Amino acid sequence: MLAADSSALDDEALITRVASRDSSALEQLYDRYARIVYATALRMLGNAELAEDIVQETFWRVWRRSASFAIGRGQVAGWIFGIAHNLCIDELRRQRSRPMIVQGEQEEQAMIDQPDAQSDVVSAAIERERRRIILQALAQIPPEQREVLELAYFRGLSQSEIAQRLNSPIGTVKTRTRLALQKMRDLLHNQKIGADDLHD
Amino acid sequence: MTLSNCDEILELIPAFVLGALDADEAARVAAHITNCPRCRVEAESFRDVVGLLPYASGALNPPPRVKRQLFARIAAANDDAPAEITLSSRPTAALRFTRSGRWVMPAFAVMLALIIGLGTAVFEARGRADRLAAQLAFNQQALHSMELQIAEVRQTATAVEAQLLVSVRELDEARLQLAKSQQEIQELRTSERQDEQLVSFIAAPQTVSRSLGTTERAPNEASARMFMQPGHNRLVLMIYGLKSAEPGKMYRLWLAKGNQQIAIGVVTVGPDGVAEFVVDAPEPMDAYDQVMITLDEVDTTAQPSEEVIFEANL
Repeated sequence: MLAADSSALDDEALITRVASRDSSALEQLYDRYARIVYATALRMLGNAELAEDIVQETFWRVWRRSASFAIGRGQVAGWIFGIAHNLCIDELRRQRSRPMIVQGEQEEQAMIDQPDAQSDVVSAAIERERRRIILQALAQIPPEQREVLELAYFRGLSQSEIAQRLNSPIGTVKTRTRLALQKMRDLLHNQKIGADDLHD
Repeated sequence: MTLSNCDEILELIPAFVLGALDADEAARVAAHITNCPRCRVEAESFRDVVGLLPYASGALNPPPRVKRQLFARIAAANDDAPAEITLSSRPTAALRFTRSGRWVMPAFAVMLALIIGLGTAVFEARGRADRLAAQLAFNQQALHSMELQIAEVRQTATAVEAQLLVSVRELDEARLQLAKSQQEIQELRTSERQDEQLVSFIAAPQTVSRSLGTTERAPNEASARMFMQPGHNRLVLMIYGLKSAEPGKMYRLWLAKGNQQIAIGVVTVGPDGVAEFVVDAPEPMDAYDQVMITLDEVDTTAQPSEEVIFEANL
């Protein structure tokens, strides 16, 4: 297990410094998490240009709202990813309500780990380990629950939209969603891996 | 918070942290969590799990320009966002108080950062605008090509439709012609059968042939021959060298039986002076005494005229 207590302290310390308008602190957070944000945005939106916008907007909002982050009430990384995820969902819903006529480049990039020339070896190793743990946990939840999780988180569908897509009762979708997250939580707990251990 | 309310909210919390609730439901959950520690703890535990999901996507480097634009944006903005947590002790004042008592900015540094930031942003925006303009021009050209193709197809369709109408008319005419030809063929076949029957009748061994006598009213070259069979009703007359009847008159065939004169039919002479007359008499020819052809007035049918052209005793 990669214990990163010092990095955990760093994240909270960094966000405190960001709130003090320290752009170098934001830069460290950017270097630490922009790659994950970009990969997730690209997976959700399928468009490199939009994913780039998501990355910029996410960290712009981190800069603007750093003061609103409640230390001790969650992880900085989770908060950053949450901002990015919400932006992606907003974009997905905007696209669904108003289909684009001019198609930009739709890129389907393989979700692979890219070595970052700027990040150090330890950070890259931490990223890989985290990915391995999460993928391992996802592989252990039943396929129908994993499908609901995928549609909800990575496709930005609401529960009613998922029910329609899968032609399932919405009650079934709600149950599978709850069971999927409970299972994930239990798996991570059973592996004695808390969110604290995975996040910085 | 009522227990039943919490139970309902607890059911929705997983979807809430995933961002999978409709707006009104999400707002209801958010409001409840704010005031319910139990549900808030539950939400935070799920939020920690959801916060790990992005790692499943792997890691990809965004282009360096993203970071550049972000920090240019930060540098360019006169950031006045209030900080809710305690500021660090490091002085943050960016203003200097001049001797004259006025606040001035370190103008050069800020202006430089502003120019760099704006320049970079403008450059990037221009690049994106250029790409979009190129894409728009391409789309417009493609649209124009499609419009031309549609016009061409419409023109072809109109021409095909016109050709189809012509073809339909020609087909109708061909059908009419075919029907007419079929009718003519039928008439020819009927005539052929009649001729065959006539030839068969004339050539039959039991057929008796006799010439009719001419009167002084007949042209010199006129002659007539009749064919008949004993016990048979049919009479065939072949007439040659007879002129066409003058207007208002006609040649009529009569059979005489005792004092009775029976008009059998009108003999039509062709322009070549030939007449072919086939008739089935009311009785076998044996029953009659005499046959004659007279030149009658058209509107008289009761008695033969005095103008006998051909005659013969049977």
